[in-house]
Amino acid sequence: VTPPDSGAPAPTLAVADDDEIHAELVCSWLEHLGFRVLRFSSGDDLLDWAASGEGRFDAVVLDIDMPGRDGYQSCRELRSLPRYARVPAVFVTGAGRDDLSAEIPAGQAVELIRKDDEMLDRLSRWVGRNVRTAA
Amino acid sequence: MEGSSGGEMEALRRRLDRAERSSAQKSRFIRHVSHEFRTPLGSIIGYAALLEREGERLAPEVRAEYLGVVLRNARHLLHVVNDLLNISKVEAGTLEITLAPVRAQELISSVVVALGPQSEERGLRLRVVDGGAPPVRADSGRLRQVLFNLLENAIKYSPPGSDVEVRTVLAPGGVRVEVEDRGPGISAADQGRLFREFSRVTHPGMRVVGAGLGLALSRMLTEAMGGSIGVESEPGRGSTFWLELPAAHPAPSEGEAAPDDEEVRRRRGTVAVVEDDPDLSAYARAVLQRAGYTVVTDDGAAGLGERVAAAAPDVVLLDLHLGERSGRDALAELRAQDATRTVPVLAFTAGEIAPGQDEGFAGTIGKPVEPGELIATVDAALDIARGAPGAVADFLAPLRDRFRTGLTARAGEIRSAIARGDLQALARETHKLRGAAGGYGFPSLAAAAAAAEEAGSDGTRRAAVERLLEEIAGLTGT
Repeated sequence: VTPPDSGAPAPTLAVADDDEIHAELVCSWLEHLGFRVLRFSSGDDLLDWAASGEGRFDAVVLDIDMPGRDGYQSCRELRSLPRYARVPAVFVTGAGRDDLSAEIPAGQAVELIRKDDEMLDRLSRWVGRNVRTAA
Repeated sequence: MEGSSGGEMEALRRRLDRAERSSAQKSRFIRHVSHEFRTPLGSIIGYAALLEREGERLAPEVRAEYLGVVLRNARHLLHVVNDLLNISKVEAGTLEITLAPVRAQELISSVVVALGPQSEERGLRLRVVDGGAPPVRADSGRLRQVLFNLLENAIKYSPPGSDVEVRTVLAPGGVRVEVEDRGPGISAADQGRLFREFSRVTHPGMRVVGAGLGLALSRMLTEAMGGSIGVESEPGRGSTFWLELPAAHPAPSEGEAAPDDEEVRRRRGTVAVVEDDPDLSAYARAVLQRAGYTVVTDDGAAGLGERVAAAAPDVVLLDLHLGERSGRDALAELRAQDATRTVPVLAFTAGEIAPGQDEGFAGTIGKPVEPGELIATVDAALDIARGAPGAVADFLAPLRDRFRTGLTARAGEIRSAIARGDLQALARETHKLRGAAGGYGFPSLAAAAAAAEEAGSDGTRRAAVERLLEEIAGLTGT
């Protein structure tokens, strides 16, 4: 009997954003911080992948306005899957929204981040609080 | 040419013989593996079936007991599978081994902590004798695995109430670790088989769990690190398992230990260690201080929130089992203080973490933890929390250039949407541009895109799109 391997892989974040250029920014930043990043161009793609059970991610970054399922809908459906029931989720939005949709239960590691020049900083702080950083 | 046909025949026969032996070994191996799997799988299936059939009618504590059996057996199988995978990796030469200077003594301390409960259960005393040996050249994860196996075996086979002693001593060209137990001892015949797969030595009346793979794997790992492993024993007189590894620095100069990599990189910042076990607390303090952190410790007694906040830590290591208190309560107490409202808090725990139990924590550190892993986890939590001043700007600069270059194409999309009279495409373009411009740090472009997206009438839209295109032209220099 041996202790389990200690070399756990880096935590994985999923990013769903229909704007390629913005997704590129978010994904490169998260990779820069040392995370593995799975990139999806829509909430629908994200859900398909999550439901297939092929792999898993530890937290999700969702654009709110996406064709097909929007960010909120994607989050709700994602959390209806047992393995993602409590997945930390952060919403990013370009629109001038100030509050999270009331449909998303607060307190479950959710946050709304605006796409502005503080976004990357806020994103770092959010993952720092909500995503296991190692082993 | 020397090779007469008789010689060739002889060589062929020997190869065939070897192949047959090896094939017979494989078959025996598979038989053992199958057997190792069948018993726990039988329990898992049996109890799971029972739970499925009668789950409703069973008392909660009975249900919990059955589930416990299922889990225990499943975990055991996972261990066996991990061992098998490691063995096959060693055999295929694909096991990753990273050799670096490692202090065996530190690994021993962490293994002793991990096996503490097991040895206490049997009333054993684990004695550690530090012979002041220099660092060895080893893979710290693999070496830990080997030490874990040796110590766990010693604990398993020791009579209740006896001593197990772990010593590190200098050996020619390296370091020797010895694990001595007062167990039943092993006959010379058995000693030879001991380090081969599935060759557990059994003693009548002793119930020992394990797949008998541990020592075989330990031998493989030790040899892969350039070391050797063995046992000295006599029936009735206990056993001393030993392993020898080469020293990391061939000739360490007297009194001047070569600084290892961890010491070279100085860190700054304050780590608060909230832990009620004084030994673990001292261990974490020593490791983190050596890495350059300022460390404050707290035993987690009532009022911990205020005390920890007073130290204004950059990161907190929080034991999840502080006496009666849950980690969740302690975390809430920290979050109630201004100075610790948003600092990353790492959960420090020996047990399994239930789903959701780590919510709100920035990470988890399992006990025992090796020094390198402890430091790396704290580093990672801090790097991310700090975002290192200027890090965003440095990171963004090349991406911003690319974004700016790509704007020409975006302007083209906007113009063509207008030319086609495709308002939907226009709205999509302006919406996307607004978000991306904001994220890349072009606020006035984001504002212009927002105005175009939200324009109510054709007239205002036309004007807003015009301004947006001007803004883009200004940024692309066209």
